[in-house]
Amino acid sequence: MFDETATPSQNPDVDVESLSETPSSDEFFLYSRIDGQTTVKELCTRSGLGRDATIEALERLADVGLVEVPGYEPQPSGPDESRSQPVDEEDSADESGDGLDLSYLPTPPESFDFPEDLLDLDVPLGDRKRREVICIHDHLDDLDHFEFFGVGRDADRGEIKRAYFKLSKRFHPDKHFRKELGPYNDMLERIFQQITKAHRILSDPKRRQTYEASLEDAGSEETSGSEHGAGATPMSHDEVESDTAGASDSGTKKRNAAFAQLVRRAKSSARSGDYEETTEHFRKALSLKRDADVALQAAQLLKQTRQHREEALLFARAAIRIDDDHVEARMLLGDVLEEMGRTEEAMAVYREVRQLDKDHRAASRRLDTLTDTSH
Amino acid sequence: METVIGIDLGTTNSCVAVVEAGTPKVIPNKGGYKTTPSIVAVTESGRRLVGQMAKRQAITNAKHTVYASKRLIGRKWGSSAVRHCIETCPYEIVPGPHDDVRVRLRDKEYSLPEISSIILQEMKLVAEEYLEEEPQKAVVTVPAYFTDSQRQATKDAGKIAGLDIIRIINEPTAAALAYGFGEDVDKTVAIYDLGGGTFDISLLDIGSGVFDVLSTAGDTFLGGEDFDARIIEYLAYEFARDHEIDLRKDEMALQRLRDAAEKAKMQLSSVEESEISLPFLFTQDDGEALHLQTTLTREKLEELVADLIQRTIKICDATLQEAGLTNDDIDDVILVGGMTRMPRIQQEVADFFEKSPSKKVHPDEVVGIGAAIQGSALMDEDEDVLLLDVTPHSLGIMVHGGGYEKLIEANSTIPTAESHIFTTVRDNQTSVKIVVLQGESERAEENELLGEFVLSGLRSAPAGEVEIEVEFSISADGIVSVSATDLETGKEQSITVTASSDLTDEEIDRMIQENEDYLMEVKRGEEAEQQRTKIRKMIRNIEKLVQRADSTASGDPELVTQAGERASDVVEQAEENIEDADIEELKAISERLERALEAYKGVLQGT
Repeated sequence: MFDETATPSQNPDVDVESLSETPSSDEFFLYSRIDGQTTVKELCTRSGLGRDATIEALERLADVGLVEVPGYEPQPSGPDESRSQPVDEEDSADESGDGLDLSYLPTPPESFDFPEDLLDLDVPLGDRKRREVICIHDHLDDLDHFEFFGVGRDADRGEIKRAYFKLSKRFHPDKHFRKELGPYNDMLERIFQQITKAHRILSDPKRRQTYEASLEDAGSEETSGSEHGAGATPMSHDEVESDTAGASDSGTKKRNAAFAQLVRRAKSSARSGDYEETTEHFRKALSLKRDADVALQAAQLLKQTRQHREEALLFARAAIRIDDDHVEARMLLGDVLEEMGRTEEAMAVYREVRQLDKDHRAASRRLDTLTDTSH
Repeated sequence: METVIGIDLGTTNSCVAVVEAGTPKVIPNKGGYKTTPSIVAVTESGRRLVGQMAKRQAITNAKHTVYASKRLIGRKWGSSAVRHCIETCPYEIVPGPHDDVRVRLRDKEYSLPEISSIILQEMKLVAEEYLEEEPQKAVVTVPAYFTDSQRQATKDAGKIAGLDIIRIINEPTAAALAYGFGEDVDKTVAIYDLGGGTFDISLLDIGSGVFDVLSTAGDTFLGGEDFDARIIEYLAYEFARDHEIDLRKDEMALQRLRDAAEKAKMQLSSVEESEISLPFLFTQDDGEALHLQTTLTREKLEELVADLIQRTIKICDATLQEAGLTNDDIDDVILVGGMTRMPRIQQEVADFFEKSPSKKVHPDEVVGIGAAIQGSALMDEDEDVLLLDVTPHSLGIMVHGGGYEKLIEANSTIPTAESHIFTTVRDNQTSVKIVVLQGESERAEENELLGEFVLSGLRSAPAGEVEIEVEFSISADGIVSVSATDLETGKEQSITVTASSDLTDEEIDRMIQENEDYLMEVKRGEEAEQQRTKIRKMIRNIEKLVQRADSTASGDPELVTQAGERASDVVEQAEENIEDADIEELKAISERLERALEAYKGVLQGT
């Protein structure tokens, strides 16, 4: 029962959309009259519902957590926690399961840097699911099958099966049947393919054995030099080969993950126009891994704004330093130099391009044009 | 949420189901039956009959009654399956324009998707009457071992019938869905599905709402119809021995034999002996009538079909091995399809798996129910059901020397993708032809062709130097796409293998139109018949009034007589035209009669 002199107030933490039972129109009306100053007694007279109906409606509003009434203890009507707990602004339909515990990932969702544009995309997918998809998808290349399934190397058939079912239920494309989810459709498909691939290997004793052996070899080579490394099993299995290539130890793996994340951050900053950030992230990324193409991408992005030509120049040069034969990076460098009015230097760069590729038409054309204008 | 119906489009019978408020339910037809015979007929007057109506007239209209059409759908004209049907079926099977198969009924040739569409339409109608709205979407089941073109042809049937088939699923998988739905099942199960025309075996892992198909195999030409054929052969043989007459040459006798064989087979599932009595089965040239009177025992039947049953058991054995499982790993065996009522089959299956089959599901209804469950699971994200289906056949391309290189193995969970790098085999080869095949044979020609395309513009180089990456993918919908990329130039060619259907888009559009025209005509015909009934009733009323006019009229006798004559004139005119008039004319006649009747009544009462 309420204290009639108590002043109910709206609870801003609870989103009406998140409730499993939408309040009735009477309740909504009453809800709209609650301002934190009007007493229960006054509400009864003003609601137009009559005293009993008003008290009843108020009770329901308080029980679902929409309204707080001093001195009243809400009585949630069921075990459904969403009633009293604020939930993210997501389609409840997506959240049928409890979601996944992804804390075992090297960069779990809590510390993952999500690209805002993907989170803000207007597609029918809940926020939590988005984060799961992005985060898992980003890790696909970095995890071995055991890590991906979140199980130990000693996991038995039952554990593998449970993990397989749990992941499938979350990421099978049928869970979003005929829904247009933009880039998420492809990500889900890729994740699911990786799930079946991992399962195919881990559920087949023979394949699993070969796979485990290849993991151990890769691991021991890294940690203890030639102890087992010399006798590494030839990797006869296609799947095994491609799975282990380039992600042999956890250090490399983590570095790759960090690199990928920094590149993503850099691009996302560029999209939002923050070129200082873009430069910073690219610089950090390249310090982790010297990748000519990424350096070129940085140069291309930065070239778009007048103020950052200098940086574009530096990244283009970096790309050439990493890969001396990089024609594309040279062409970009020439372009930037031209824009800065450094024609002589640009021409030198174009000549270098022609040395690398004597039939390079664009370089020849630029050279002809520049020669004409300089005379 | 939009309702999706589940349709079990069977060889002998079809069944439609729906999930309502979380509960699956089979929808009975107008006759109260939960299954409808998959039979289509065209009468002499050009009317289409479906289901029970078609079955009832099959004896007298054998040549224009199509049954077991599922055995022909998606097949090539030259295939052995088609040749077998041509020999045994009383209806006329003719070649289609794309090396496909058509059925001639009266003066029209029907493609197999059209025949199936007529059945689908009937099932849609059954659902519509129950749901009180027209269902737009359906999940339809096919035998697990159906090939891509058989599946595609089934989808075409849906299009012609005006149904969006949102997914095709395998019959045994559907059965498993029905078996495990709404319960917390954690088991490995075997589904033994012996229906009217096909045999399928599937092994599934079921747990926490996930239905994971481990392995599936079957024979698309082994079913109840073959059991019937054995009985027919036996009866015809006995008859030929006694009378030196081949009954199978006489269409009507053959149809009666077929009915009797099916009936005896069913009876022998519950009794030890069945009387077969077919009086006046054949009339000899001298006018003497011959009768067939015999007894078929369960033992004799079992002897006749022993090898057929053994064939199914062999496939079960191979499938278990393929999945790397033994009898012990199977927790439950589920029997699906009408043929599994046969005690001998139950016994053989129990012996093989070393456990009694589950009695939990109804063999005739379980597949339709499973289809409805999958429909609901696809539309409703909250539905705690996920089907992990597999592709039943391997996929690959033709390689040098007529060989076949598989890229996707049979029983791979879909969606899936695989790629492989191939090289040129000749010096200065500048193009490669990618021939996409489906099947298990090592010889390319023995597999089914799904499609082909050419990747050209390759660099002229010594053999083996140019690399081409071929990628296969199968979407969750089972649609196969293949792409080939020249790794040097990045040039890409690809196809989506949906064109493997035997019908072109134009043909399908035409068939949709023809179907709509037919339905419109039927509707107009029904309307016309209603008008005629109404007209006849009015005519009787007027005639009655005229006869009794003298005794009942209160108005001026002379006027009454005159009015009576006028009304009779209208009646006479109406009677003359009633049969030939179209719907508009009938309406006009009806109006004239109505006015005449009102006027005459008025005069009779003197007002």
